[in-house]
Amino acid sequence: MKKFLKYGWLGLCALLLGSCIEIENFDNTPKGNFEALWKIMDEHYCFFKLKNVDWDAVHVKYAPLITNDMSDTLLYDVLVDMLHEVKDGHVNLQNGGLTGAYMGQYQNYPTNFNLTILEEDYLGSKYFNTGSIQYKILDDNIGYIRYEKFSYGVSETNMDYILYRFRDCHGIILDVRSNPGGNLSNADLIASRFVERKTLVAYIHHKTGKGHDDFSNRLPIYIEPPAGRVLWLRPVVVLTNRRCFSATNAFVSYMSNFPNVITLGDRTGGGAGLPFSSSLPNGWGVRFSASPQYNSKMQEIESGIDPDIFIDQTDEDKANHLDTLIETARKLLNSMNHE
Amino acid sequence: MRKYLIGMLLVFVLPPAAAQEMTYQSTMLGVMGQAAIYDTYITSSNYAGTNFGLFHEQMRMTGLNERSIAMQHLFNLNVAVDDIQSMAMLEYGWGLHHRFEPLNGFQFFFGGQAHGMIGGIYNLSSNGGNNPATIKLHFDLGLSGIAAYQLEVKKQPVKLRYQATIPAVGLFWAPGFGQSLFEISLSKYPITFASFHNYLSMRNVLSVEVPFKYATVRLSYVNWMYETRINDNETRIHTNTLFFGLSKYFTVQPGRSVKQFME
Repeated sequence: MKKFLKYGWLGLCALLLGSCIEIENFDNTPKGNFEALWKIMDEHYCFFKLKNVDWDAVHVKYAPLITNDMSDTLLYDVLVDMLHEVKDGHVNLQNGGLTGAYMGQYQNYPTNFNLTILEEDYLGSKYFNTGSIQYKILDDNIGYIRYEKFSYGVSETNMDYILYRFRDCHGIILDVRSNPGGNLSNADLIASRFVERKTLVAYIHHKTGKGHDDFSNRLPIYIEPPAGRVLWLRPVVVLTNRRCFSATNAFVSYMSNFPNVITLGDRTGGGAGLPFSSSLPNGWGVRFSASPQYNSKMQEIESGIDPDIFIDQTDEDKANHLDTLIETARKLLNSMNHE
Repeated sequence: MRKYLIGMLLVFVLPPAAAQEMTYQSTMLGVMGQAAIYDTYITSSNYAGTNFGLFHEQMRMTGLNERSIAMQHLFNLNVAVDDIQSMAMLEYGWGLHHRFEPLNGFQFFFGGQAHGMIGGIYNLSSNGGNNPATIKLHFDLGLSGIAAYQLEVKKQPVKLRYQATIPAVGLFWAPGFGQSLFEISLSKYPITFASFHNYLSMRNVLSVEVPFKYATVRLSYVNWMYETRINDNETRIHTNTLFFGLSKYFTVQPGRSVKQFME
């Protein structure tokens, strides 16, 4: 019966111009897993042209390194090296607890963020936690918000509560340094409190086929303030560093469009490709950038966003338990208040 | 025993008496099944797993064309799981079939079916990707055929039945090749026309019914082959499931109570 059904089905397919799905099965061998990974990237990765990577040449380079008798450990190392050719923090290979993520977007750059100084000298023991956001009113009547990860949940009520508490402040420092990203909808939710009207903030598009240049038209992304919620239209300084990645990168891009916002610190780490995931025959998971985002001027932000004001942490300030970026932001907001 | 035999035949062979509607109803549970799921929106690998199902069918002769048209309702739920994916698909089909009796003892029904499906395949190991699931939502029109044959095995009536349904044209809601759910939420739902060039599906239901004193037992083998290539995303779902359940035949007198035909 199964054979009858199989051949009957194939016969139907033959009649209908061979439109059945042919599955390209890769063997669960090192070579099979290599080919599967190369093909997944070849068909789905979205930044080959932007990053000037010849993926066919990458195949020529790495295929000879794969043998079917190599260990999983060695195979993993070679595959991670191949993925690092695109220099993309969103591209990684998961094998149990290993991710093999690329970190070049922030390695060899100053961190410009010291958690000890922040916790001991700024937040101290008297700060507030609402949802996943830490916040406090500093001595000079400036509101300080620390958001650690965009994967941490935040609600409209959380934002109402925080901004209402800051109602007598003349400025806010919104610190997203070393925030590795997370949920884009949280970026949208927070950014929407700092804008007065519907504002174009970004573009996004996606691959429409397997070719490296197969993309859809760019879709505009707007932010608009939520009705009936507390808004903040006074000055805001957003603190950034090289470890602001992915959804944080998008958040900084959104906020850069608002007239009351100044970004301060270092260039963000980028990560403007919405990642997709897939898996190899051996069960290892692969994550890769699949859907590019752009700023409101249709410029690429995959390589990061420059701040309005570049500032690095100084050793002198560090020795004095001062965060140079926070102090600069405070001076800026205070000077704006006196104008 | 004679009543059972006549009862089953009457549903499909003799025109029902005036002002009475012959109705056949069956509910089965898929107890042993195998599923092969391949969906390139989620992963590029093919996985095999276990399939379970729920199948409910109702069929009755209508007053159309001198009561030669049978109307059928089909509900089908497939739930499958493999190493990295889980799948749930809910389907409803409504069909009208013309009855033919070209051969003694055989009944054939041929007609069309309107069919809708909603469901999805979820990636159990999405690792934070923006493609954690693929949603299947579509409506289609297709062809349906039934062949039934009544026989006796050691004086025990046994009915064999086979039904095949093949969708022909439809409308699919389907994401673009690399379109994330985030981007879909910002735009209109992408609707795609589907037919044999990008949508091939066939459901085969082979059943054996054996009436006993208090119930008619139905054992079915259901084979479902579903393949789509839409926006360069490819889906292939093949299931083979053994269903076990009960059937009943009854008449409905309009304005009066249901009369179980076996009485």
